[in-house]
Amino acid sequence: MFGSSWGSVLGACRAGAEWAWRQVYEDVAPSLLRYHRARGTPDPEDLVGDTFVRVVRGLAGFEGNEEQFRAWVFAISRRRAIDLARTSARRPEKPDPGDGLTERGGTGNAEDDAMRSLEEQRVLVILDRLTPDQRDVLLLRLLSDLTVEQVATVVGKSAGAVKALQARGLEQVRREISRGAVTF
Amino acid sequence: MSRSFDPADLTAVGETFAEDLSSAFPEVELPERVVRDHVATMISAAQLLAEEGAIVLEPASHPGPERLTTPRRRWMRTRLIRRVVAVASGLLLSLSGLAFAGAFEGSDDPGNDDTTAIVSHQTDDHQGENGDDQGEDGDDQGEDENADDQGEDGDDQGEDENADDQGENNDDQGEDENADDQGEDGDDQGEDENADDQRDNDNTNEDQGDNENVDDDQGDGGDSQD
Repeated sequence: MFGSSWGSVLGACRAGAEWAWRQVYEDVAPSLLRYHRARGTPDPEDLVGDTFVRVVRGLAGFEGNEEQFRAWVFAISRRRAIDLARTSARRPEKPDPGDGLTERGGTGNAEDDAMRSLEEQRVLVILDRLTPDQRDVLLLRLLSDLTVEQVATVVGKSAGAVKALQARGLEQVRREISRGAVTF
Repeated sequence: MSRSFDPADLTAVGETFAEDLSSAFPEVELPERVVRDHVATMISAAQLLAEEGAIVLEPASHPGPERLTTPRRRWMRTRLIRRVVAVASGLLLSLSGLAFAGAFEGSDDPGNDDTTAIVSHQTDDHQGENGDDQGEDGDDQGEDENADDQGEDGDDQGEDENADDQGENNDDQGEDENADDQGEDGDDQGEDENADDQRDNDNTNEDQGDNENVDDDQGDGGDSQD
């Protein structure tokens, strides 16, 4: 979070200062990467890099505060992920066998990584039972820590629609947990 | 920025699921190598945009005046000006050629008018000499009086043949009394052939009268010779 220094950082970014871009990247990229990993986006790190290049290209047209900037970056990244998913649906690729726990941020401890993998699989099963909009809203609200207004900007819906999607998504999660369908 | 995770908005299930999500997908710092590569790519993109003059920000159809300073834009502007000048020159040459041709043909019109006047004199003479010829000419004028004149002058003036030709003919008629008579006779002959015939007969009678006078003169001459 930049707080009061946001204006100067944004101005430095517009001027092409490397230090400013690096600060912005380090502030936003981790939560963005986390969102895409939970979303199941293939090559989330590449997508994060691609997102920030698009942010650089479009920064001159951006006007807003830090919260709006964060929502704007997430919106760009989500749209890019949707485009890539459509492209890969038309041209399916074989999964890379090198994809493993280490590339997903593994700790190097086999037991911890295994437990985390189980937890991740369980959560992914629940997320798969949700509609795409419900899944995006819950991930952005609960994982990326965005406000309702920011999520509305990201998914292109009204704040009321976001609240409704969140409520229905949580109800679906409760049903899945109570059914015990996702217990391992 | 207020924290979005508001427990009041979420049920207990939501809180539990949020914890599950956080433990399943912890926030991991990106490797320094990845950060360096991404930032370097971002800086390259920013420099590329700065060199291109932020073309992305402005529509290509409305570049500002300062945008017309790169060599490519200058070249395109020069090429556009050349094309406009070439088209304008071609158009000017075409129009001048048409105007030149029109001037030549316009110079022939007075000659035609003179010819018409001469023909009208001759016709008047023939009326006096031969009534049958006058009757035939009168029929032709009555059937297609304007068409003959328009056919002659129409080639010269093209777009508005009738109006111009009629105007010229009116002018000619005003200048030449014989031509006026000819036109009036033509109208009368066209409307009423009988009237023409009567006039022809009158003329013929007059001619005969003249001939009688000639005979008288000859007689007188004869008398004088005697």
